[in-house]
Amino acid sequence: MKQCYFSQNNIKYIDYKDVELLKKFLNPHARMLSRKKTGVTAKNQRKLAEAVKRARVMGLLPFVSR
Amino acid sequence: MTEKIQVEQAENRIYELGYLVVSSIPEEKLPAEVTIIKDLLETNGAVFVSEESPRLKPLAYQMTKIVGPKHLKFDTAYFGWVKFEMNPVSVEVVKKTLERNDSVIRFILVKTVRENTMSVIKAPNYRSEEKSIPGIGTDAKKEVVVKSPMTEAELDKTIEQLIVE
Repeated sequence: MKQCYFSQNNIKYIDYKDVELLKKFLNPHARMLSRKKTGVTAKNQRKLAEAVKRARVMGLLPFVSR
Repeated sequence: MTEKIQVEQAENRIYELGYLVVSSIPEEKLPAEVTIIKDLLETNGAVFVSEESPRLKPLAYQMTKIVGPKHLKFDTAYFGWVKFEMNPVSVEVVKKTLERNDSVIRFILVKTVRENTMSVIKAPNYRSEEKSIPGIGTDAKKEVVVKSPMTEAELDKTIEQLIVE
Protein backbone atom coordinates (compact mmCIF):
# COMPACT_ATOMS: atom_id res chain seq x y z
CA MET A 1 0.00 0.00 0.00
CA LYS A 2 1.29 3.46 -0.93
CA GLN A 3 2.03 5.99 1.80
CA CYS A 4 1.54 9.73 1.66
CA TYR A 5 4.85 11.35 0.69
CA PHE A 6 4.14 14.51 2.70
CA SER A 7 3.08 12.69 5.87
CA GLN A 8 6.10 10.40 5.68
CA ASN A 9 8.54 13.28 5.38
CA ASN A 10 6.67 15.48 7.87
CA ILE A 11 6.03 18.24 5.29
CA LYS A 12 3.35 20.49 6.74
CA TYR A 13 3.48 23.32 4.22
CA ILE A 14 3.65 22.62 0.48
CA ASP A 15 5.50 25.50 -1.18
CA TYR A 16 4.39 26.73 -4.61
CA LYS A 17 8.01 27.64 -5.44
CA ASP A 18 9.19 24.05 -5.02
CA VAL A 19 8.63 23.30 -8.69
CA GLU A 20 10.76 20.17 -8.84
CA LEU A 21 8.66 18.58 -6.08
CA LEU A 22 5.35 19.66 -7.61
CA LYS A 23 6.37 18.30 -11.03
CA LYS A 24 6.52 14.80 -9.56
CA PHE A 25 2.78 14.99 -8.97
CA LEU A 26 1.95 16.03 -12.55
CA ASN A 27 1.56 13.86 -15.63
CA PRO A 28 3.27 14.65 -18.99
CA HIS A 29 0.27 16.85 -19.91
CA ALA A 30 0.93 18.91 -16.75
CA ARG A 31 -2.29 17.67 -15.16
CA MET A 32 -2.31 16.65 -11.53
CA LEU A 33 -2.01 12.96 -10.71
CA SER A 34 -4.85 11.36 -8.79
CA ARG A 35 -4.67 10.38 -5.16
CA LYS A 36 -5.14 6.82 -6.27
CA LYS A 37 -1.81 6.93 -8.07
CA THR A 38 0.24 8.92 -5.54
CA GLY A 39 -1.29 7.79 -2.25
CA VAL A 40 -1.38 11.35 -0.89
CA THR A 41 -3.89 11.96 1.91
CA ALA A 42 -7.00 14.03 1.14
CA LYS A 43 -5.78 16.91 3.27
CA ASN A 44 -2.37 17.01 1.62
CA GLN A 45 -3.92 16.60 -1.84
CA ARG A 46 -5.86 19.82 -1.23
CA LYS A 47 -2.67 21.59 -0.13
CA LEU A 48 -0.84 20.18 -3.15
CA ALA A 49 -3.59 21.37 -5.50
CA GLU A 50 -3.36 24.88 -4.09
CA ALA A 51 0.44 24.94 -4.48
CA VAL A 52 0.21 23.71 -8.09
CA LYS A 53 -2.40 26.35 -8.93
CA ARG A 54 -0.27 29.10 -7.39
CA ALA A 55 2.78 27.93 -9.35
CA ARG A 56 0.71 27.94 -12.56
CA VAL A 57 -0.45 31.51 -12.01
CA MET A 58 3.15 32.62 -11.46
CA GLY A 59 4.29 30.90 -14.65
CA LEU A 60 6.47 28.40 -12.83
CA LEU A 61 4.38 25.48 -14.07
CA PRO A 62 2.32 25.22 -17.26
CA PHE A 63 -1.47 24.95 -17.31
CA VAL A 64 -1.25 22.57 -20.28
CA SER A 65 1.68 20.80 -21.88
CA ARG A 66 2.27 18.83 -25.16
CA MET B 1 -16.32 42.08 21.24
CA THR B 2 -14.77 45.17 19.72
CA GLU B 3 -11.66 44.62 21.83
CA LYS B 4 -11.31 41.10 20.44
CA ILE B 5 -11.48 42.35 16.87
CA GLN B 6 -8.87 45.01 17.60
CA VAL B 7 -6.51 42.41 19.10
CA GLU B 8 -6.95 40.19 16.05
CA GLN B 9 -6.21 43.10 13.74
CA ALA B 10 -3.10 44.03 15.66
CA GLU B 11 -1.57 40.56 15.46
CA ASN B 12 1.13 40.27 12.85
CA ARG B 13 1.19 37.40 10.40
CA ILE B 14 3.85 35.85 8.21
CA TYR B 15 3.34 36.57 4.51
CA GLU B 16 5.26 35.86 1.37
CA LEU B 17 5.38 38.01 -1.71
CA GLY B 18 6.43 36.31 -4.94
CA TYR B 19 6.88 38.63 -7.90
CA LEU B 20 7.78 38.61 -11.58
CA VAL B 21 9.74 41.62 -12.79
CA VAL B 22 9.72 42.42 -16.51
CA SER B 23 12.67 40.97 -18.41
CA SER B 24 13.12 44.19 -20.42
CA ILE B 25 14.93 45.71 -17.43
CA PRO B 26 18.72 45.15 -17.62
CA GLU B 27 20.26 43.12 -14.80
CA GLU B 28 22.19 46.17 -13.50
CA LYS B 29 18.95 48.01 -12.79
CA LEU B 30 17.28 45.03 -11.13
CA PRO B 31 18.47 45.82 -7.55
CA ALA B 32 16.77 49.21 -7.87
CA GLU B 33 13.45 47.51 -8.66
CA VAL B 34 13.89 45.15 -5.71
CA THR B 35 14.56 48.07 -3.35
CA ILE B 36 11.36 49.78 -4.56
CA ILE B 37 9.37 46.66 -3.60
CA LYS B 38 11.22 46.24 -0.30
CA ASP B 39 10.84 49.92 0.58
CA LEU B 40 7.11 49.62 -0.02
CA LEU B 41 6.97 46.72 2.42
CA GLU B 42 9.15 48.47 4.97
CA THR B 43 7.05 51.62 4.94
CA ASN B 44 4.03 49.44 5.74
CA GLY B 45 5.77 47.98 8.76
CA ALA B 46 7.17 44.74 7.38
CA VAL B 47 9.82 42.80 9.28
CA PHE B 48 11.79 40.67 6.80
CA VAL B 49 12.22 37.00 7.59
CA SER B 50 13.94 35.68 4.46
CA GLU B 51 14.21 36.45 0.77
CA GLU B 52 15.60 35.36 -2.57
CA SER B 53 16.81 37.92 -5.08
CA PRO B 54 15.15 37.75 -8.51
CA ARG B 55 16.60 35.47 -11.15
CA LEU B 56 15.80 35.36 -14.84
CA LYS B 57 13.53 32.40 -15.54
CA PRO B 58 11.74 31.16 -18.63
CA LEU B 59 7.98 31.37 -18.07
CA ALA B 60 5.88 28.25 -18.54
CA TYR B 61 3.61 30.24 -20.88
CA GLN B 62 3.54 33.69 -22.46
CA MET B 63 2.24 36.46 -20.22
CA THR B 64 0.85 39.84 -21.23
CA LYS B 65 1.08 43.04 -19.25
CA ILE B 66 -0.99 46.06 -20.18
CA VAL B 67 1.02 49.25 -19.78
CA GLY B 68 -1.03 52.24 -20.96
CA PRO B 69 -2.22 51.47 -24.48
CA LYS B 70 0.36 48.72 -25.05
CA HIS B 71 0.01 44.98 -24.56
CA LEU B 72 3.51 43.79 -23.71
CA LYS B 73 4.28 40.09 -24.09
CA PHE B 74 6.85 38.23 -22.01
CA ASP B 75 8.38 34.76 -22.30
CA THR B 76 10.97 35.31 -19.57
CA ALA B 77 10.89 37.23 -16.29
CA TYR B 78 12.89 37.78 -13.12
CA PHE B 79 11.27 35.74 -10.34
CA GLY B 80 12.01 36.66 -6.73
CA TRP B 81 10.33 36.38 -3.36
CA VAL B 82 10.34 37.98 0.10
CA LYS B 83 9.03 36.48 3.33
CA PHE B 84 8.00 38.99 5.97
CA GLU B 85 5.91 39.64 9.04
CA MET B 86 3.16 42.24 8.68
CA ASN B 87 -0.13 43.48 9.97
CA PRO B 88 -3.07 42.08 7.92
CA VAL B 89 -4.46 45.60 7.44
CA SER B 90 -1.26 46.86 5.80
CA VAL B 91 -1.17 43.93 3.39
CA GLU B 92 -4.14 45.34 1.48
CA VAL B 93 -2.25 48.60 0.95
CA VAL B 94 0.79 46.71 -0.36
CA LYS B 95 -1.42 44.73 -2.71
CA LYS B 96 -3.04 47.82 -4.21
CA THR B 97 0.28 49.64 -4.64
CA LEU B 98 1.92 46.66 -6.35
CA GLU B 99 -0.98 46.38 -8.79
CA ARG B 100 -0.07 49.85 -10.07
CA ASN B 101 3.64 49.01 -10.49
CA ASP B 102 4.47 48.79 -14.22
CA SER B 103 7.66 46.78 -13.81
CA VAL B 104 5.92 43.91 -11.99
CA ILE B 105 4.15 41.54 -14.40
CA ARG B 106 2.44 39.51 -11.68
CA PHE B 107 2.73 38.98 -7.97
CA ILE B 108 1.34 36.60 -5.41
CA LEU B 109 0.78 37.43 -1.76
CA VAL B 110 0.23 34.37 0.43
CA LYS B 111 0.07 33.46 4.07
CA THR B 112 2.95 31.19 5.02
CA VAL B 113 5.04 29.93 7.94
CA ARG B 114 8.28 31.32 9.38
CA GLU B 115 10.22 28.08 8.77
CA ASN B 116 11.91 27.23 5.49
CA THR B 117 9.27 25.59 3.30
CA MET B 118 11.46 24.31 0.47
CA SER B 119 11.86 20.53 0.74
CA VAL B 120 15.33 19.01 0.62
CA ILE B 121 14.22 15.38 0.56
CA LYS B 122 14.16 13.74 -2.85
CA ALA B 123 10.61 13.38 -4.11
CA PRO B 124 9.32 10.05 -5.46
CA ASN B 125 8.81 9.53 -9.16
CA TYR B 126 5.24 8.48 -9.75
CA ARG B 127 5.50 8.87 -13.50
CA SER B 128 7.81 5.84 -13.89
CA GLU B 129 5.11 3.66 -12.35
CA GLU B 130 2.72 4.52 -15.16
CA LYS B 131 2.10 1.63 -17.54
CA SER B 132 3.95 1.93 -20.83
CA ILE B 133 2.34 0.81 -24.06
CA PRO B 134 4.29 -2.17 -25.52
CA GLY B 135 6.23 -1.39 -28.70
CA ILE B 136 6.17 2.37 -28.10
CA GLY B 137 8.74 4.50 -26.35
CA THR B 138 10.63 2.67 -23.60
CA ASP B 139 10.63 -0.82 -25.18
CA ALA B 140 12.24 0.41 -28.39
CA LYS B 141 14.93 2.23 -26.41
CA LYS B 142 15.81 -0.90 -24.41
CA GLU B 143 16.53 -2.84 -27.60
CA VAL B 144 19.03 -0.21 -28.78
CA VAL B 145 20.88 -0.32 -25.46
CA VAL B 146 21.27 -4.10 -25.61
CA LYS B 147 22.76 -4.03 -29.09
CA SER B 148 25.49 -1.43 -28.47
CA PRO B 149 28.04 -3.04 -26.02
CA MET B 150 29.87 -5.20 -28.69
CA THR B 151 33.21 -3.67 -29.67
CA GLU B 152 34.77 -3.83 -33.16
CA ALA B 153 37.39 -6.42 -32.11
CA GLU B 154 34.70 -8.72 -30.73
CA LEU B 155 32.71 -8.34 -33.91
CA ASP B 156 35.74 -9.30 -36.04
CA LYS B 157 36.32 -12.40 -33.90
CA THR B 158 32.77 -13.64 -34.23
CA ILE B 159 32.87 -13.09 -38.01
CA GLU B 160 36.14 -15.06 -38.21
CA GLN B 161 34.63 -17.91 -36.18
CA LEU B 162 31.66 -18.03 -38.50
CA ILE B 163 33.94 -18.19 -41.56
CA VAL B 164 36.00 -21.06 -40.01
CA GLU B 165 32.84 -23.05 -39.31
